[in-house]
Amino acid sequence: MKRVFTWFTTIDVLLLGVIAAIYGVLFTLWWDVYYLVKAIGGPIVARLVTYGLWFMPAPLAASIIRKPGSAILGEVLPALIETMVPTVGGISNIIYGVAQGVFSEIPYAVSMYRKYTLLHSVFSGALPAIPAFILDALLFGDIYPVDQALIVILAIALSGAIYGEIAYIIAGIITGRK
Amino acid sequence: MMRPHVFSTFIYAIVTTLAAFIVRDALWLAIASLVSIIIGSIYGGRRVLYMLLLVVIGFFGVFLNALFFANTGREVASIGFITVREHAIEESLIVALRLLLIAGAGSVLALTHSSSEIARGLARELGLPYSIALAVAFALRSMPLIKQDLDEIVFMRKQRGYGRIPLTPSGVSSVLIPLLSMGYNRALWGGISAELRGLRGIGYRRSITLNIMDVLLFMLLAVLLLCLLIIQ
Repeated sequence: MKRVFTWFTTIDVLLLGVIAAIYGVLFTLWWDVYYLVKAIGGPIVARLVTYGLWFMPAPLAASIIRKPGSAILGEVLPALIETMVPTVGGISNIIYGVAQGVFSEIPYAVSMYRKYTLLHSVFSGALPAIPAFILDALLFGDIYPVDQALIVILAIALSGAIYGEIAYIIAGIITGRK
Repeated sequence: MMRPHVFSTFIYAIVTTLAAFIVRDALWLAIASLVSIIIGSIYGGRRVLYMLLLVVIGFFGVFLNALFFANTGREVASIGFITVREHAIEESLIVALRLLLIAGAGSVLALTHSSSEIARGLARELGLPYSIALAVAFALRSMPLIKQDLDEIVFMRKQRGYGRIPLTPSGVSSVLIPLLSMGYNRALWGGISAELRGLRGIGYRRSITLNIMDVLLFMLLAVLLLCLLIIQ
């Protein structure tokens, strides 16, 4: 256990800490936005508008740090902070965080951690739609007919892709890298 | 008052939360929620009430979800163009109880210990990797500074005629860029300073002696799981 994530320097770890703190707070506040949009536009619009922010720290952390495991930690650590704050989601935040983090890591793992492009960031934002949909279906009983399920997954993935792109742009601005 | 260790509250919280994802029995969910809320209120006091208030607000969203996706079966009530059916009521009850259990289980962990105690406990008692423990500790330490930065950004947004809460992706990015820029520089210089002073990963795990509260908590968890087996 001691030798896990040893390739991260202290600077990387502190950067992950900053991302965790910012998104830990944002995630907590974002619930109000989610319920507001849901009450006005319904569940599909709410997913399209809001879900992406919950997937955003993974591509952001990966685009800034550019090391294996940064996407997973980028997603899990804010969830851990959100659990400690505390929020209504409790430990379920960590369960969602781990599942989404693993799927966010896939695009970077597929490229053997050699490329951290806009496309990788977009996919890293979009892929967590799969575990998010499955966990939502388990927890909230959102079992839809096949056509509606596709629309819901697409709405979540599209939202994640948009926020994945924003994460890449923000990472470029912050680090001064193109 | 004697408190259980972080590791025992963490195990209790994670087992009951995982059960909330799977179990559909309303009686068990209600009992487990009640037990968790009582434990949370013993250590958290009034803070549990705030959490329960948030859960009650969440119930509205749950009912709306059930109306959209599970509104089938016998008609129960009709208000204007909205017809509420049997299955929507059943679904919302189960999901509401699940949320109550998740919030209750979370409060057992989060209200029994302070955030820094949890971070320390996860590293020392559960053997969380040093890098993760350091990131969590830095995140907790950075929170007041980030809150200060966020207040300033929100103030500037209001001065420029934008809303307090950003609702669009571009609005979110207009808040995140300055917030992350400041945080990035803080982490960069903090990291350089720590490395120059020779900070190294020296994560260690302590052996733990169970206290009476840990034993009681595990016994309670065992009883809950036994009840679940009997009910199922």
